[in-house]
Parts: sequence; C-alpha cells; structure tokens
Amino acid sequence: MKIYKIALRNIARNKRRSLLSGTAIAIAGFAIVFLFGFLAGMTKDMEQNLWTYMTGAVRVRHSDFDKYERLNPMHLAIPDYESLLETIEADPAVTAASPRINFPGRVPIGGIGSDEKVNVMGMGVDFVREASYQDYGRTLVEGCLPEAGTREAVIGRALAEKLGIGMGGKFTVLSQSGSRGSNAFTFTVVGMISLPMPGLEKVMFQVPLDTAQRFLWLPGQVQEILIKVNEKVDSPKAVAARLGELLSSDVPLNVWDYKEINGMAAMIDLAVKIYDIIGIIFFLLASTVIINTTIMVIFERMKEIGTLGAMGMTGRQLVKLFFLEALFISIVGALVGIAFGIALTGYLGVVGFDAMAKAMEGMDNMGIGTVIYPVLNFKSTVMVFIYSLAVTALATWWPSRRAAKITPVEALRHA
Amino acid sequence: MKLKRIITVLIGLAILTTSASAQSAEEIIQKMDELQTFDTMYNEGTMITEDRFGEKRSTYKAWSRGSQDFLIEFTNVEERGQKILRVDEELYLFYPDAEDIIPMHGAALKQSMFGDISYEDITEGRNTLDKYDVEMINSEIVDGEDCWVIEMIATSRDVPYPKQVVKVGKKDYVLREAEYYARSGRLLKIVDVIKVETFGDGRLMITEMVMEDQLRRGSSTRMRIDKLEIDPRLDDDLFSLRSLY
Repeated sequence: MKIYKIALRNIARNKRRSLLSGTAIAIAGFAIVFLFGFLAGMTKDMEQNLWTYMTGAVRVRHSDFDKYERLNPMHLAIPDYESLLETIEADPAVTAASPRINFPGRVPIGGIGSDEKVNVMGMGVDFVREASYQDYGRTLVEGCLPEAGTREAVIGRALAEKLGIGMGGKFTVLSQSGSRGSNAFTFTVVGMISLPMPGLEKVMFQVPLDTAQRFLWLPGQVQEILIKVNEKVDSPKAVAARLGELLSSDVPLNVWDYKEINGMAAMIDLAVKIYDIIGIIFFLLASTVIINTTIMVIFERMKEIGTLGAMGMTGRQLVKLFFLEALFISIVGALVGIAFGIALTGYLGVVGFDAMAKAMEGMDNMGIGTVIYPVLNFKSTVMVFIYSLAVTALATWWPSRRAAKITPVEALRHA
Repeated sequence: MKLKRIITVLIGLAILTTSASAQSAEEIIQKMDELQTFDTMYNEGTMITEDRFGEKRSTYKAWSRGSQDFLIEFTNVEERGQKILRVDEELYLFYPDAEDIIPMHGAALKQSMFGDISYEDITEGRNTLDKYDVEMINSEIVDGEDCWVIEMIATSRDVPYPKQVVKVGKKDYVLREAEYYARSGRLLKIVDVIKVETFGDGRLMITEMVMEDQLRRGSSTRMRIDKLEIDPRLDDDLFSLRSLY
C-alpha cells in the first residue's frame, strides 16, 4: 500500500484527533488572514487619510509658510496656482490634485453676551475638482456640496452638533486673513460630512475656494496644492523630486512627499515591518499548537509505530507517513481557516470594522481613522497558506524523526 | 534722649516724604489722564506694523466719548468697514461679511488686534487710579525730557498688565514712555511716545507712538494720528450696537 494512502486512512480513522489538529491550523490561518488584512487596512487607511486631508502624497507650499507655520502666516500663499496645476496634472504618476486654503478660526456661540468660542478648521476647496480628490460619495452624509461663489459650507457632523446647528443653519467664523488682519464671514450649512477621523470631524468645515479667497483676502491664491499619485507608476518621493524641478513660481516653493512632511507618515514603513513581525510571532505561537498536537499524536501512537516497524516499515517511511498525515491535515485546515478569514475580512472590508473605534480616537495626527476597512492581498491570503504549510511541515519534521528512531521493541514496551 | 528725638524726627520726615511722593504720583497720573481725556473726539489715523514679514499698514477713523467709549472703523481697502466698538465696558467686533457681531471677553482680549496691539490694550480706558496703586520711583531723562518714573501696581485682576512703569514729562504731564509687565515680572510691552502736538485750546495730545511686544521678536507697531477733532458733536447712537450695522 502506498504511504499516502495509509496517511489518508489514518486521518480518517482518527477523526477526533485529525479534527483537533485541523481546527488548530484553521484557527491560526483564520486569525492570521484577518490580522494581516486588518493591519493592511489600517496602513492603507492611514495613508489615504493623510493623502486626502493632511499632507497629500505630495504637497506644494510657499516654502516660508512651512517655516513659519506655527504663526499661521496666511499671506504666504501661492499665486498663479492654475499654471502650476497644469504642470502637476501633466505628470504621468499624478492621479488628482487639490488646490486648497486651510484656515483656523473661531466660531462665537451663545449669543452676544457669551464669550464662548469654538475652535474650527476651515478648508477652501474647488468642489468640482475636489470631488475627484475626496471621497464625498462616502463622506457626504446629508445635503449637497456648496456652489462656487456662495457662502455655503459643508460641515463635519460632530462640529455641527458642537455648534448646535443643522442643515440650513448659519455660523460665523473669525479668522486671520491674508492681509495679516482679521475677517469674519457667515456661512450657511448645505451639507454634512462624516470624516474617518473623529478629531477632524469635530473641527472641519469646507467652503468654496473662491469664497475662501475673498474671505481671507487671497485673490487668485491658494495656500497649498495636495497631490495624489499612483504608486504603481511612481513613488511620491520620485514625483515630489520631479515636480520640485519642474514647478516654478514667483514665490519659493516646497514640494515635499508626505513622509517628508509628516513624521508619523514616515513611520508607516516601520509600522508595516512591525506588523509583519507581529504576524510572524502570531504564527510561531500557532505553530506551537501544531507541534504539540503532532507530538501528542506520535506518543499516543507508539504501539502503532512499533507494529509498523515490526512489519518492516523503515524509519524513512515512518517519517514520510507522519509528515504526510500532518501535511494533509494542514492543507485542509489552512484552506478552511483561510477561507473563513477571507470571508470575514472581505465582509469587514466592505462594511468596516469599528469595534476598536474608542481606542482609535485621538490618533488623528497619525491619520488613523476609527473605522478600519481590512484589505485582502497576496500576503494575507496566498502567503499565509504557504506559511501554514511550511510551518506545519517544519513542526511535524522533528517529532516524526523522533518516532522513526524508536525501535519496534522499545515502541511496543512503551505502549 | 537727644538721639531718640533725632530718630523720631527722621522717621517722621521719611513718612512725610513718602506720603508726599505717593500723593504726588497720584496727582501726576490723574493729571496725565485728564489731559488725554476729552468729552468727545474724532480722529483719523494710521497703524503700521513691522515684523519679519514686512510692513502692514491700516488706516482708520475713530470716535470717542469720555475715557471709556469708542468706535473705530477701518478704512483701508483690506479691512474696509470693519468696526470695533467699546461701550459699557464691553468690546464688540463688526465685520461687513458676518451676520453676527462678535463680542470679545476674557482671554480673547489678549489676541492681537493689529500687530503688537492687543484688544485689551485698547480697552483700558484712562481711569488709571481706580485700578492701580501708584508710586514714584525716581526721575529720568527720556528723549531729552525730564520725566517722573512712576510704578503702577494693579489693585484688581481686571487689568491687562499687573504692573506698569510709566515715564511722565514733568513739564507737560504727557506720557513719554511706558513698560508693561506680567505678574511674573517679565517685561511684555514697551510704548515709546514719538510725537506730541498742541491743539486749538492749547492741549497737548500724543499723535504718534510705537508699541513693541517683547514676546514678538523684531516686531513693532506704530500708531499715528493724521487728523484730530476735539469735542465734535457726536450722535449718542454712535456708541451703540445699532451703529455697527
């Protein structure tokens, strides 16, 4: 009889034992698929949030604005940005560009006798262009986007609650202007946005770019241009270097990629490595279950080993037998676990995973949102399957070799 | 016995001298306040701030009534129509594009109104003796003018600066220089009077001064009165919220 047939028969004969081993492998596979999917989702989410709301993949700014950012030097803006946009959008790696003005402000609440003011962060954007930059399909939860030239605004749902206003409500923002004075504007809420980062949602509102330019006394100017790039075509770093040479303006420009801008973004690479290490540690822990099960199986089956040895089976054949048994169980266990992992990760990838929402709050600076959408990729599926088999094979090898070295007499005496 | 009498006389003299100086300091401050306070006044002026980013210039029209109420309206193109009203010890901001009037209280008053000048700098009024204990320190020549140096320590927390040192001209009772300190003793701002002019009724008026915020390195703000009208007829409604719209 062929050894693989004996192995299959043994698996079928010891259903409980096989089920236990297979389940351990399935659970490990399932957990690792989900863990890698979750971590990949978190990394992607972090990158997306940074690119969309904070730094872009590449950001263009007046170089002195970066230097004096803490003083909020609104007047250090970029003139004639339209011509810069033409150059930017001609780059093959650029997928979208967003000219913007960010302006911190204060909104008085409680009427004329109150001194209560709410800190807000305004963003002037070209909504026609911005629709291809921000995912309004997902974030705009009520109403519509403002029309250019109006004093309409979309406002973070949490900020609206804080200000005590709803759709059609009005709020007045006091801010520093580009003329280095101050100005205040009253805006009408026409839409509500729900942002992935709750800290941002509590402060952010968006208004038409031309209105912001008028409000802040920045005619024809923007504070920054954020750029998204297709990393398959080129890296943000390479695009920043290329645009840095191509873009010319009347003011000195900083063209930086997001890792240069945000220290936390630079941590993404490190985070990915750490996540991989966490995954490996998790896998090693799971493999101890496999090793334990296999050793248990071998000690349970000493009598059988002795009998097989007495019947003339060689040590090599014994190793092969136990190895194949473990391998078959691993293949089935890993496939089942990975299938379940793919199903759950895929489902959460669509509906989002918010069980850790509370813990994630306050991580806005890192760009991490409260709802994570796990992502399935080659590493979290195919590689997990291969790892499962490799670890199981290695885990089986040592106890199988031990079993093979036992003489029939010794085996029968132990039994 | 003789020595004891001498000591008593010396102590008595010292007390008398101190009380005479304190009273004198109060009188000086009172006189200084009176000279700079008018029943009504209208002026047009320019504020120029210079800092690391260059020069920023704003022009304004201002109306005032007594030592407390005033209305400032900016006239330069960037801030045209913006108004600051102080009435009933409250400060309000009006912006042409805002539907709400913005009241300024508490910590908000510490914000910059223009360059080195904060909102609280313009809210202090001139009833100095109600809020400060004053003491004569010494005399000093400031820009060629012999001045009294008077230290003022706030008696309430309701003032922008807990301590001020003012230098007042002995000849004309006009402020020539002022230093504003934090509670910790840190020097916050310095005011330097550049120009004093005599007007119709012979009264002296500061028409140009420079304020330097010591926490804003390399920054200074110059305030200059270009046109002044003393005791014009002003509508009572001018110092009301209604006048802002």
